[in-house]
Amino acid sequence: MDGLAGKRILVVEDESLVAMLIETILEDLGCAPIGPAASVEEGLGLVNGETAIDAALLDVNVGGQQVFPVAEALAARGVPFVFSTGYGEAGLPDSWRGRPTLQKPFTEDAVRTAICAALGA
Amino acid sequence: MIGTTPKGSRSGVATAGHVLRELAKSGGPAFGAAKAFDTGDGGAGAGRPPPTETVQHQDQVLESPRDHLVEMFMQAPGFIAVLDGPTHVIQRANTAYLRLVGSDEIEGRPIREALPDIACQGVFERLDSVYATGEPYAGRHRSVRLAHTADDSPEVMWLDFIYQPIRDDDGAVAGVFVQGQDVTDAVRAADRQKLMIDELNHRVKNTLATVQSIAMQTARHHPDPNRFAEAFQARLMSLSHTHDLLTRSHWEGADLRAVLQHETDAHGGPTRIMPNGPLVALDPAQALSLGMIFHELATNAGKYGALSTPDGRVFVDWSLADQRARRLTLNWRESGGPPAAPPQRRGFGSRLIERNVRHDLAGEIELDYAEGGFIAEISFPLDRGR
Repeated sequence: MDGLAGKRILVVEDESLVAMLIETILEDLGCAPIGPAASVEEGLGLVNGETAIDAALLDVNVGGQQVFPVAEALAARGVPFVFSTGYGEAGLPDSWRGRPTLQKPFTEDAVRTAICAALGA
Repeated sequence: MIGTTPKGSRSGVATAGHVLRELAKSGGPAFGAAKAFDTGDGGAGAGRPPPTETVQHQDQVLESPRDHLVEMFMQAPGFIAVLDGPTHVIQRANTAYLRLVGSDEIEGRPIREALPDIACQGVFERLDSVYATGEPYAGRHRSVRLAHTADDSPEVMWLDFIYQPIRDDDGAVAGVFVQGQDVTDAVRAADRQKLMIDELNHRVKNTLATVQSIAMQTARHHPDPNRFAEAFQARLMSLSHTHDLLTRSHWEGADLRAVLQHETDAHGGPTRIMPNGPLVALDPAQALSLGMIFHELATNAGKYGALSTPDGRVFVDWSLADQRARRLTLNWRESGGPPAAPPQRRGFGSRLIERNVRHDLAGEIELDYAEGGFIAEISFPLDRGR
């Protein structure tokens, strides 16, 4: 399964319905969703915690805050990640451009492609 | 002025250039003091002094238009200044200009000295260039940092303006006419509008993703297309009802009781689902979450619980605790229906309720499938600073 089977994917997303959709898609891909974290604080807690993370799916705007502190923490640990946003890549500041980005709403295929791109799989 | 007598044209016509020059010429801050207002068109009448009585008559006629002109200049809603010479000595500045720069002691001083606060903002350099080249300069939506009074810290203002060269009788540039208006309010309003449109785009995309999730999850639990369509539409309508409520308040928020009533009208309204609690202002995200939760609870009650029988009722009581870190506790208690029993398999509805409370509301939920009827107790912090 595209080398995604068993991958542990951190999900940061503040809307539970969207988080549930992402989890369903990830489970269908054979991945193990971690979280979902509903805030930057919760996301940082998971990144800095004991849990092993292979990759992450980050909603850019979580609970009125921008997710970039979580992205920085992941980058510092060398964990690849994918942004998800209503605007697509145009919603990202220049310094974060060029990362795999999912535009909401997204298909299962788009999620798989983006995570594969992030993992280099 | 076509059709006037030569005498009339001499007294009545002043070209724009002349008006500027006259404004620049007339001395004294109060420059209403009447001096002979030379409306000559560049010396056409030189050497031909008119008879004395005509001069007197002209002075009387002219005094009044000149006063009017000065008055209009001073009261014009836009800011106007007349700058003289290569150092841009502020010869004249109207009330709006003085208000803009926050000082009334600028007249008679070169602009670099009179307004040192605006150094390094390109203003002086542009004036130099207009003076040197004779080319007018128009700025639109330009920002400048200005202090309104000597004590104020400078703030950003947005201006539309024109620097127009003033030429002397030989056509050489003698000064610069500055005219413009403060468009700060309009620029800020446009910024706010852009922010709102961005926020709206974000919400629309998120809502679409939410609808996509509802469709996908509903489809997994209802393989039959007819039952899928029914359940999907009901959830879509539920989302739409809370949107209606939020639209009414321009997305400021909604009252808890109103959300409950909107979501449960289709299930018999307040005679069957009885609300009891204080006014609670919910923010938009909380209103949307609770709206979906109420919809799922009412749908469940209609299918399996108190609302599946003619006499069953639901009591919804809520209260607020801890005024400093306000926490809402809401109790949904069904009565008069069949005994409640835990579901054989957790459906999307109950997952949606639990996830919404824990994830979106950062709260807690307890479900009790009691003999007398199903009870759900939900509590969450109201002020999460979202």
